[in-house]
Amino acid sequence: MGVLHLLSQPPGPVWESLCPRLGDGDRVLLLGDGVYGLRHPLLGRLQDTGAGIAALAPDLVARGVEPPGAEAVRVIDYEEFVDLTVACMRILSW
Amino acid sequence: MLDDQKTCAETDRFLTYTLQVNTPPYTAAADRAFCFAEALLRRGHRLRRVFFYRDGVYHALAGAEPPADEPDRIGRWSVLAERHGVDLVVCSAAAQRRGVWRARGARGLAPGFRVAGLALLAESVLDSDRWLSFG
Repeated sequence: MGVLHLLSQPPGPVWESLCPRLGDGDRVLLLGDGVYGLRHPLLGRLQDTGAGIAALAPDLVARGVEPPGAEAVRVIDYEEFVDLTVACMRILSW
Repeated sequence: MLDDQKTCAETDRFLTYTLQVNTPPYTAAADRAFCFAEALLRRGHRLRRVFFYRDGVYHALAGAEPPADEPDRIGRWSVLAERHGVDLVVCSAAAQRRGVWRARGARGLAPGFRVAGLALLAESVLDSDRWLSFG
């Protein structure tokens, strides 16, 4: 059972620190200002780690960030966020 | 990717949660904590305790009243606590430091809140299936 990382920081140093720690089985949920990363080159680095990536829909809407068209990032609501925490025993906030 | 998720109705797994809130009421992180709390209850899970730490202790400031055209970001926690039996705990040291609570003297907290130490947070984390920190 992997770790769920809650990434609420905009792309920058925190993203850089997180990438090397991720592996298959881990998940990353972009929320808050973290959703700005959907339009940033660092998203590619995050995807290259093999971790599953999701983004919180209300935070995309609130910030005017277009949902990604690709299958690579799943846009989820709060109830699906809860389901993610069921699937992952350990949850870390960044 | 993330396609292996099932709803709890399908898996019949109901979990117990502890949430930690570290930021004041009028912040995005505190809003997310509340939305998550409501969602986990809708999913049928149990919210055992919410521990307000650092600037999160301002949630318990008695008498804070937002303007009538704004959502009540303090009162809504009190309502949630009453409806669902959620234990709302503020860190005593953090609250004392910020003048939210006094060990001696009559300074009450908002309805549904009580003070306790970090030991209770530790106990809560150990006794819960999941622990999430906001802010």
